[in-house]
Amino acid sequence: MTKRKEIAIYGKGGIGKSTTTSNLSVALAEMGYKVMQIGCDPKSDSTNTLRRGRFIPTVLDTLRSGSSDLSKIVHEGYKGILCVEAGGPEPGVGCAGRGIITAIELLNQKGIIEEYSPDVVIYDVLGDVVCGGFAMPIRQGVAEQIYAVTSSDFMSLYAANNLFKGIVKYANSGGALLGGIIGNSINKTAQQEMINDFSRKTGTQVVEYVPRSQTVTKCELDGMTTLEGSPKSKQAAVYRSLAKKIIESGNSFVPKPLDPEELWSWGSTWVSRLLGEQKVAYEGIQDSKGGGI
Amino acid sequence: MVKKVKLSEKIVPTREDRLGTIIAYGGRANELVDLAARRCLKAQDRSFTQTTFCQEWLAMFTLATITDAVSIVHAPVGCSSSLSCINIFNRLGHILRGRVPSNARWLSTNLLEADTIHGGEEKLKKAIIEADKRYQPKSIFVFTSCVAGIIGEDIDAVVEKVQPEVTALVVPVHCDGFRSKVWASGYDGSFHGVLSYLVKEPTAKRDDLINVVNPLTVGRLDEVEIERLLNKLGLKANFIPCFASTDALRNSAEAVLTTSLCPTYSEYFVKLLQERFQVPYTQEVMPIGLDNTDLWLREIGNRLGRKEEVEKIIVEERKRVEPKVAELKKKLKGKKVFVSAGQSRAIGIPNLLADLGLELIGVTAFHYDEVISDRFAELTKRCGNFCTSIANVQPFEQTNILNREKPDIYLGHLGESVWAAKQGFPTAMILIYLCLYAGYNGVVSFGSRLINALTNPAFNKRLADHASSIYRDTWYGEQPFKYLKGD
Repeated sequence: MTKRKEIAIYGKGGIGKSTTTSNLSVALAEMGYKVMQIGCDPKSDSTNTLRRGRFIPTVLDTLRSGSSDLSKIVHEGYKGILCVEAGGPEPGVGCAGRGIITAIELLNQKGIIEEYSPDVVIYDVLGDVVCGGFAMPIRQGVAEQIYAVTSSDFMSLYAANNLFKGIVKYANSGGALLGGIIGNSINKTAQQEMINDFSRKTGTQVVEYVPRSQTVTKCELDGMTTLEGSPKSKQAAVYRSLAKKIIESGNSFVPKPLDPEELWSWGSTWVSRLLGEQKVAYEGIQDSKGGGI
Repeated sequence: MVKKVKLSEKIVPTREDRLGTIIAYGGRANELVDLAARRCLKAQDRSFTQTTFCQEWLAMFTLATITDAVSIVHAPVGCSSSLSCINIFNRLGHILRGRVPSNARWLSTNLLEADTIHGGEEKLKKAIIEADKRYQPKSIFVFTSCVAGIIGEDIDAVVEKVQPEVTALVVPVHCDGFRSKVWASGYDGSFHGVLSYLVKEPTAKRDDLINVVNPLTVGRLDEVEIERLLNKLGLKANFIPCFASTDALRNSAEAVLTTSLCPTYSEYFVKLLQERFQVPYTQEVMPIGLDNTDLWLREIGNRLGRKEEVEKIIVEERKRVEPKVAELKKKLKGKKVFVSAGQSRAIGIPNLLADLGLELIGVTAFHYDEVISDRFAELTKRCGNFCTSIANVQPFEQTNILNREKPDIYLGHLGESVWAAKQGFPTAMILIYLCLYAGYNGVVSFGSRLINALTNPAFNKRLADHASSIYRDTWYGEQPFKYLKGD
């Protein structure tokens, strides 16, 4: 057996990381890999589109019920993908970060990953690295590569930059390194260029640009990934390409995050440019420098 | 510059923030006085520190002996382990008050890993209802903890929600351990809860009632002496909060005045009681030693407009005890003494010792701030430029200091005296319920005790001969304050 590949996918809330992760899992399963997807978000809906929208009992629900029997937390989804949800507290109480730590520790202690022996494990982790708990998958011995999902929205890049800070913190103690950036909801050239520029400035690379697509939304509303609901679409091809690159890539980076002031001034320049392009596109207005349609 | 904080906030700011309290200093007394006067005292810390107290312990210590109350510790179960120790004080305190000893009552919510993740508020609610049902107390104190604080448990909201379902008055006490390195901050959390949830608007003022705020470590014998002095003024002492009833606290705003047996302990409570209920206060010194007892009484006399009566009492008392003090002085004069105590007691005890003619060679105070700075400066005028250490219980520093200073006798709390005893120094504990320190009789009583300790040093000497060395010899070659560092 080849060495198991464990990766973690981070991104700001609502940016499309669970969508990307689930489609990636299916694409890898299509390639013949045995995949386990672990949702690390208190909402517990990372793997829903792999199981027609159905929720599953979470690791932390099991712990809360007083049981130490984790045999019922792994559920098979589409294409045999092993679905696990860490779970977490209700909104407004407790500590979600501690939940991630406990859930990952429990999965290890109980030998769940060993037991199912997947070829690829993908952690789908909420947002910013807001505390030690959400940085857990970055630390030594959990994931080996991190991918950041981001749109060209400034706050999303801001979150990616924070993630990079988290990676730098653990880089020297055997923590995970950055595999690359996945640009999501990218339809315009300028958006691509902005993310490209961000990756250049932070010493990283962009793995794939995933366009915004109605197909994705439609399939999700049906409780399916794009690869299941619309396997022949252009969008599905993009996810397959992404999966291939990730599984084949051995490149890892210690990113060079920007300091906040640098990031703000860089962002402000790019947002002006994107707004300019939007004006041209929607209103046919050109500024004195020309360009446009 | 210490920032001025309004007292009536929801959660009391720490003593570091409110009073500029420091927990680390080492040097001579005059230097400390000078630095404080010039406001150049840095908030130092130690690069190495031994285990010290958690403010939660001091918060519980304040309220756990209230006779008709139950304590609930909203924490992992280990956080309530020190209540067993408090219970020893509790049982002994009952005996000394002529009551049948009973246990302090407490429950722990026993926060486990799953509670830390999902929140423990439901568990707390159940614990409050259970405590009310099981013990029918008049009040229930809910103590927070590090875990509850880190996960953001809203205990005020839980208390508000559950109050209509129980008979007892439920009081939240904010004392998350990590918030303050100054354990005395724990007192403030407790008193803040008492003031906000228990003390009621007075229906009538009582001219004869005086609140006497007294920590658990000042015993019943001291209370008896204080009560005797206050009775001479026709005042009835309402000792709070330790061993008091919930009602004694509820009605404390009826008093004509609040005074204190320990300013460090009462500091926040008396100020807030005045701010909210207009009860004036005095808390200049502990009434320990002749001069300080005079001062303590005069403060009360001034505040109540009864100066002449107080002067009369002082003359009477002095006349009675001074011959006895003179006798004791003959045997104690010139003996070198080292004192370690909480900051207020670290002023009070040396004054008492000076009355008895002992030579003060060093003081360790657990912390230092504006509560004692003036009195500390006066102590240096009376006792000279003695060795001064500000330490929140650091035996490694203390043993090194004692090894250099070589006192004839060491006075400290139980946990510290044991180290000095192992070094062979005669010791007298400053906290023992069976001895009296306060007031005029306290000087005589404690003087006799010192003579006992000094004339019977054999046990400690023998102990030192047989005890293994506490630290490596190389440590005694180092400066005791080696591990102090600037901010």
